Amino acid sequence: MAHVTINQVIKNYGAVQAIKGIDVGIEDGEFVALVGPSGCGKTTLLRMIAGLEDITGGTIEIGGKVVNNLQPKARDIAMVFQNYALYPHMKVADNMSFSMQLAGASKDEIKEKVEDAARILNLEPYLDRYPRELSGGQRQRVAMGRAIVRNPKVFLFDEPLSNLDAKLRVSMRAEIKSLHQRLGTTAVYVTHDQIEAMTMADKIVVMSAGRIEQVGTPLELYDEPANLFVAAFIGSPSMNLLEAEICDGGLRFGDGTILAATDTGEYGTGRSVIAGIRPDTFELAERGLTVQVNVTEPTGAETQVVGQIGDSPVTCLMRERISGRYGDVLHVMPQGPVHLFDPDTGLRLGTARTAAIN
Amino acid sequence: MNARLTPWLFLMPAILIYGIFGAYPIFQTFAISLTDQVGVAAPGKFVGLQNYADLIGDAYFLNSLKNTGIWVIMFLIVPNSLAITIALLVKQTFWGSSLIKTVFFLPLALSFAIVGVVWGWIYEPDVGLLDQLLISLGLEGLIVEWLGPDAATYSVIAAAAWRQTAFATVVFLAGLSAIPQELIEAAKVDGGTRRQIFFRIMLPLLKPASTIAVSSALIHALLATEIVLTMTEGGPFGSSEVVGYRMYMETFWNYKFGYGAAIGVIVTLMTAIMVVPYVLRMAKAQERDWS
Amino acid sequence: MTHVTTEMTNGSDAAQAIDRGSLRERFEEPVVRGSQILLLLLLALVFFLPVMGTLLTSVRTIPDITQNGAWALPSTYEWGNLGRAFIEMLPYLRASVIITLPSVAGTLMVAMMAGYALSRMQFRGRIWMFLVIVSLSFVPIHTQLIPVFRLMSDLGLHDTFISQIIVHIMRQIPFAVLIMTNFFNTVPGELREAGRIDGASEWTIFRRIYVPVARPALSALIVLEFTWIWNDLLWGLVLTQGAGKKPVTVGILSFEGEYEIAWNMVASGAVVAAIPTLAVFLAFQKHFIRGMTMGSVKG
Repeated sequence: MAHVTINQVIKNYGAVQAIKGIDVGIEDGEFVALVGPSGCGKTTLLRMIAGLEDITGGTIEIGGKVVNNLQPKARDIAMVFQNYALYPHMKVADNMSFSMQLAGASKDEIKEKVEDAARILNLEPYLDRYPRELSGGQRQRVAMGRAIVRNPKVFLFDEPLSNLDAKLRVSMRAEIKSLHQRLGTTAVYVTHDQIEAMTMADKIVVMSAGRIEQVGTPLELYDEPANLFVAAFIGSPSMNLLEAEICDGGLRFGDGTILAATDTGEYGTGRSVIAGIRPDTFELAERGLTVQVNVTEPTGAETQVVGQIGDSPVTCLMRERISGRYGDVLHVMPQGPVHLFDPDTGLRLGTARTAAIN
Repeated sequence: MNARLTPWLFLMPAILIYGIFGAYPIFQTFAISLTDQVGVAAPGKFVGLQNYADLIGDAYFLNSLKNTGIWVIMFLIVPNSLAITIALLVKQTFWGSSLIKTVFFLPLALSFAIVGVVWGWIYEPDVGLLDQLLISLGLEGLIVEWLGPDAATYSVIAAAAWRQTAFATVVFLAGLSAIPQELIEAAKVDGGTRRQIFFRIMLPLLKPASTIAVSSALIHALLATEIVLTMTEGGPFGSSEVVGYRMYMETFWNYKFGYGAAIGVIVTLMTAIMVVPYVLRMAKAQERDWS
Repeated sequence: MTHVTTEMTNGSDAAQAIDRGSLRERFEEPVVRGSQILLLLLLALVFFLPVMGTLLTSVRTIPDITQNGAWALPSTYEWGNLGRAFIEMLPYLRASVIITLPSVAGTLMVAMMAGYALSRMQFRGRIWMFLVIVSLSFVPIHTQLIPVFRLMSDLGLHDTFISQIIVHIMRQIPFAVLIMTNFFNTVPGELREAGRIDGASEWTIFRRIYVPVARPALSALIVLEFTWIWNDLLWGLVLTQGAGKKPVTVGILSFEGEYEIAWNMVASGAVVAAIPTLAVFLAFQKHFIRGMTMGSVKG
């Protein structure tokens, strides 16, 4: 077990800079998710930790040792690949123990470790099968088993659940999390699915275009997104980003409504801002923001209203069963925090709370 | 169209053309091999297995059989090991560069007639490219009479191997690129050295490609007729003859059709034995596809 | 931020780790890679020598060859050699064109129909039919030479183009059917069902849907078949008598016999005879390679 320190890491592909100087500290035993849209550099970063990509600049340390120039095998890491990368010509047991065989472990030791891992992952009946004879979920477990058998310093996961169907994904998610809590090994987990990151990770690193947007615990990211990117990326459905303007003691929204709001004084009257409001914080009101309904989508427990406030698209998640149609008008009030962002820099300004209508 | 007849209507042209000009002749060859037919003018009379019995005592035939054996062994080893080396090197260094691949694939475009003429002249004493090359490198001592009685078979094999290597390189490169990169990476993470990854991951996964390369080498070695014909005409003194060439000579030079047919039957039987595993593989794959 | 402090205390360890790791890697990687590149270039050179030697010699003069040896650059370039060779080879080239083009077209047509039936239709004996065709693609020419020669003589087709065309189509059917079957296997069956629902007959489905869809496989097959048929030697030898009907592969042999020690002319003849297939290969290398792998790398 070990901590991982990523220090000013840069990756260039020719003239293109894929990773633009990244710093992350990963504590011993921590489960860290690297999350971001495709092409943000998260997989590249993971592969650099694994030793599958050269590091153009900066250093990566595992357990206090700089590993920049070490081959993967010398880094004491295990990796679960997106497509599992099971060796098709080897049985499950051999797939799991291949690294031990290469390391020259004794037959008894291999057998013991493989059986231990198989027990943990409920793979015991399948040890004598070939990967092609297994279902997707079982293959995924074998890939995990291969990592566990190593007892490595660090687990690396490269979107390991993306090839599973939705139901299996949810159950494997819980399984990986509990496995991590049982083994306590440092883990770095790459995913594009923010829900996976939120539910599994101790700490999330949100990346975009080769940079870090924000690092924090799942709830920190949810409650205080550092910028518009994180605000829109974390949470589902995503946070509504409404154009608004600071006015005396309140916020004027695109539909002309003015809501009284706390903590807006310091920004100066007349300044335009982006007001970020989570869909689930809206409640129906007599008066309030005017939502022009496009469509309502009932899911049973709640109703999702998709429409517009002024020119900004908006999604509201309502407890009530609403049966609005295109062209209907609703009034809603945000009951939770309103996140304020600078429209030019995209950075977070602060949080306001709205009160009654002025 | 009648639904049960339709598939056969689509197959009809192929069946007719192959049936008349391909399949029927195969049976005829067996029949002719049991006669003493000479030329095409008149059918021969039935002599049973006499032609085959004669072959056992025919020194020319036995010599050609021995040479075919040499062909098979050399062809299994040389082009395939060369090709796998080239494929690995290309993949690791110039992967994607089509120029380097073109150089290695080029011989595939050349006919055996051209290969034979070009190499025949590479081997020419003194003025040939090979002797000239050895002289300019100061290696005159290595020069032998390349197409003389002792070396001719091996020289012809080298020429044919040049072309066969090109084919095997194509096959192995395709096989290599069919191996998912993730597997190699997983093996690296698992702690494999270059050597271990090659022998324990890549080579087993190259099995389909190897089957093809090996079958192709076998067939070409067994049938090597055109290249022998162009380079040495079996000479000097029959020293570089192979069974396929013998069959051609007996038939179209000596007009011993019955005798030639017997050799043709033997060549066919040898080929059949060699390709059975390959055919079975294909059938299995096809059944998987259709089920 | 505990890791920051550990980083500080372990500073010297870390530095050592860098050195040990990098020394080996830095030394080993470039050496291995360098020697790989070197070996590959050497192999490529050896591989290319026959072609290069032929090209060089084809434009030399005889005195140049005897004086300077074959590996020096030509002292003068005799492009006329190639022209002369071309004119002499012209009848053979013409014959090869007349033989090859219809053979390729015929093979494609027959093979597409058969491949479509084998791949897309359910009928009794399908797997057997397929097995037979796979096996036939290995039948050595030697089992067919004598009876075909006899049959063509009986039919009065000896020394004609048509006999060579028929024989080439026959020889290429198994492989071409195999390729087309494999290709049609990859085309979703829904296409045929959609066609039937649209009211198309089997023939219309084949003509209007499957033939156009088969374009990528066809281009690969065309390039392969062209090369193979053009390059055939044995049938050309066996089935012809006069110069007018002999293909260029036979032509190059008589050319060699005629010029014997005029190496420059022999090389020129080889170049001229090889140009059509070489050009096709260089222009359509991708199709060529795809065809080879389609036919073989399966299962």
